[in-house]
Amino acid sequence: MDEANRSALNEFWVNLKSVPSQIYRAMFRGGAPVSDRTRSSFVFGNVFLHLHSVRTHLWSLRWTATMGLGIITTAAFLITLVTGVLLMFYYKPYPDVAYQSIKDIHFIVPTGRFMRNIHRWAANVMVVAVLLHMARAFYTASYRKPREFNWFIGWGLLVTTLALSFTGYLLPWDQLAYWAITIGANIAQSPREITDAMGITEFFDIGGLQREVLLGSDKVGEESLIRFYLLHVMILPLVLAMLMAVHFWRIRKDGGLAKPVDVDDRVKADAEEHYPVFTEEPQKTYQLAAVVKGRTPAVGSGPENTVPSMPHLFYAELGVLMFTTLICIVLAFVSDAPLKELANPLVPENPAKAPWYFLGLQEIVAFSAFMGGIGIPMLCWIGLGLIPFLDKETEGTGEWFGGPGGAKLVGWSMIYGFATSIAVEAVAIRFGWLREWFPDIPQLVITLVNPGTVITVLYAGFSIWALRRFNSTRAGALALFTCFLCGFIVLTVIGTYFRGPNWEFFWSPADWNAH
Amino acid sequence: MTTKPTEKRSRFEPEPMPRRDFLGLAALASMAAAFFVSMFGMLKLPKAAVSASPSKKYSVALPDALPEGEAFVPPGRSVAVFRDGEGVFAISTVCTHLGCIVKPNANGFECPCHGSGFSKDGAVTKGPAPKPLPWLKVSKGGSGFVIDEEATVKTGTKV
Amino acid sequence: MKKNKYLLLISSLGVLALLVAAAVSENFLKEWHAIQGQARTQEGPIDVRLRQIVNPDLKKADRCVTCHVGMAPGEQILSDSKVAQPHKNVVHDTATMGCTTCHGGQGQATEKDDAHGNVHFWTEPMLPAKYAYASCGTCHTPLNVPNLETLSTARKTFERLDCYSCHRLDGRGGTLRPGGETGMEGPDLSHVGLKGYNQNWYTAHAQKNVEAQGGPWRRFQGGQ
Ligand code: HEM
Ligand code: FES
Repeated sequence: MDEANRSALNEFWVNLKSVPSQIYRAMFRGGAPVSDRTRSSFVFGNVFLHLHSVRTHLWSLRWTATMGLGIITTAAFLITLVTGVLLMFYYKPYPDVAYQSIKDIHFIVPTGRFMRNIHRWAANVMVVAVLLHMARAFYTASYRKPREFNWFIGWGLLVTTLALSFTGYLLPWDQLAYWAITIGANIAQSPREITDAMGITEFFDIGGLQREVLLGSDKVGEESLIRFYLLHVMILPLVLAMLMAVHFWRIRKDGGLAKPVDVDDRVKADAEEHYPVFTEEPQKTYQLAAVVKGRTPAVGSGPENTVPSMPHLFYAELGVLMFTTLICIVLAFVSDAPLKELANPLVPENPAKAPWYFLGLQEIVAFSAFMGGIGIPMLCWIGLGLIPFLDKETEGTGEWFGGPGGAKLVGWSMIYGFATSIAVEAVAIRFGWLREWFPDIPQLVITLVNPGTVITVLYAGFSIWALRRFNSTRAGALALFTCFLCGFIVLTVIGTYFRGPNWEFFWSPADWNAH
Repeated sequence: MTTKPTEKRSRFEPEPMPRRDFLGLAALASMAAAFFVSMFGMLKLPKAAVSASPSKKYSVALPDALPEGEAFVPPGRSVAVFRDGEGVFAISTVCTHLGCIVKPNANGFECPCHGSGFSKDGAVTKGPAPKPLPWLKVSKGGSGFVIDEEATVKTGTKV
Repeated sequence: MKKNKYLLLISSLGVLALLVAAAVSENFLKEWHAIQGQARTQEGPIDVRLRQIVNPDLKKADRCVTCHVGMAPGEQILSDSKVAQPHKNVVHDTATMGCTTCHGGQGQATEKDDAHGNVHFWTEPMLPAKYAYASCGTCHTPLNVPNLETLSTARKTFERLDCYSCHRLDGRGGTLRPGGETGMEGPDLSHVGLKGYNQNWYTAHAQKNVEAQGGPWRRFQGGQ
């Protein structure tokens, strides 16, 4: 054997022996994450972790800063993702067969019942958490420059989350699912109320079109099921994941979470525990900074009072992830996901109720399908999206109930918001509404004047009062947002607990006369 | 963070933290344990607990006029049942190569997929099949015969 | 950071405990585990697992045999517990036919109350055993079935009381309408057996008739 051959063989042998350590080094290029520096390179060298910035401000790590709500939402999504993929092993999206496959999952699939319960509960946790997270971002005035766009993304996330939950609702194909989706789809058709009143439905039937595209047919059937399935397991999760990635990345690009301007005077790093960042001369020149236009939010503010994201932020995130998991598993343990009788298109559930987060809408839909189903929700939704562009003040950014009026205004708005919505509902429930008083009244009048619109106008009035009283757009926003939140709660609770067969009022579901 | 910096430390130095941080380690370890256990549940799920196909043991009613040497195939089953002077026997028609269904022919059976051939008693005569076609357990029962696809008997056993 | 570590620790331990509890209850604590655990054959204990009878023609999978193991295909149970007994000999091969076709109930279920259909949201509870013949009519409407005698008594009763005048049954009858040409049609009774029987229904129905104040049927029968 000649020299060259031997050494190549030798080299091969050495390479083979060192495969494990080579793989390790290929994965952890910066070395093991043991010093602040190697941890940083670990974070930005990893495609998933680098959505975080490498250092996190102490202000943002306090529990009260975010209540962990964004991470709870993320965690709930991950849980639904994992359990949902598992359910797909057995779920069959075809009418009747779907119901049987859910029964199978319940009775014979190993861990199936548990997974289904967790999936259902995590989905509900996600809806609640995303609403609370939005409220958090609003009340801490975190939507302001440079975070307007991230609020926008969040707005898309809210809709996607609700859509995911709604499409999932149909899949078990039981009575609950079937009639909830029937109601939901008819809400989509409600612009007909306007086109009918104007007499143009024949030429321009946007409501009917919406409903038909949603269902793929003129009623909830196999076409709708496969459509909802596709949306639920493919399209919407992909959209959500993409929006989430942008959402997180924007947080980093926007200089971390919103903080008060004087934040560095308020939190002080414990000198014993945290090591200063700039103990030696910077070794990089900021060439890139010369190329990129504008100033990044972090420039000019020192990185002091920040700690390495690894491990500080990661402990928080993992803690919240496991906490959310715990909540979902506890709920899955104490309560089985509902499954009623097999769907029967001929026998409606009475009352047929939409998923709970739409019951507030269903409550006002009971007066005017258009206003309840399209008009007011659209108004809220557009208003919500425009908040960062309508309130551009700077006072109170990053603080709970920051801005003129503050917590006190929010308290009063709550009282007002609850009181007016309860009062209007009480009148409508006790005495009926326009149609009961003036039987020949045109539909258009009812569409314009109904409990939903009356509450909306009352809220808008209060908000304008607050805006003028404090001479601040933020005060107006605080008042309006709080009022709508309270109205949402009141209507949802009434729709859920106090409405029975024929959408009549009952003090308790126990009074629904069974037939 | 448990260690105190003795002197001015720089962020380039490793922190000896992980070794002393019992709380952190316990937290991470219990999380890992929870993940580990949940993995079991998730891996268990795809393996169905009970087979979705009909029972492999069933009774057949043989036609009275079944000519000797002609196969009777119970509807929906991959079995050929024969009757001759010595009794009744059943041969599986699932090819022992890769599971295609063999067809009875004049000499025995032939497989359409990769050309295996079998004699009348199931022995391999041709092609890639590694084993003869198994004979299935037949017993008298009820109004006819009961075939158990899960039990094989020695070639040549007739009832 | 300490707070977060505690959060992680406690939540993880909680998750761990619940996962173990779920695993134990699913794999060891179900009622059928105990029933199968006691069942014996000549060769000794049977293996404890879910069992079912699949009937591809009727698209049914009946898991009743998970508890009633004596009726599972190919099981020869010796123990004398009542649930595990074999089925008595009947015309159909129970091991291929399945259970719910005759007995009703929820074949997919593996827990007693669910399987026997005594739960909310299951509309067809099991038939009492003595009425199991009622289900023969599900498939064999015009044929002679084992309960022929009962059936013919019932048929004759139906005929004798002239129920055919208003009710349609297997394409016969239903020519009269209470209230004349435009009146209400009597319900078609051909498939009433399909959904199982509620033995109290007829009594309740007759009682309703007694209590009713008018209505087309009463008027037709010469009442108010
Ligand atoms: C699937 C839904 C969502 C997920 C997973 C999500 C996730 C997150 C996360 C993890 C954060 C970091 C801070 C925290 O934990 O609170 C965050 C921040 C933020 N989110 Fe969301 N979010 C969602 C929906 C929304 C919605 C509906 C809005 C508002 C319409 C929104 C607006 C914001 C804003 C403005 C920030 C920056 C807050 C700040 O700088 O303090 N997000 N989001
Ligand atoms: S499967 Fe029969 S020859 Fe290959």
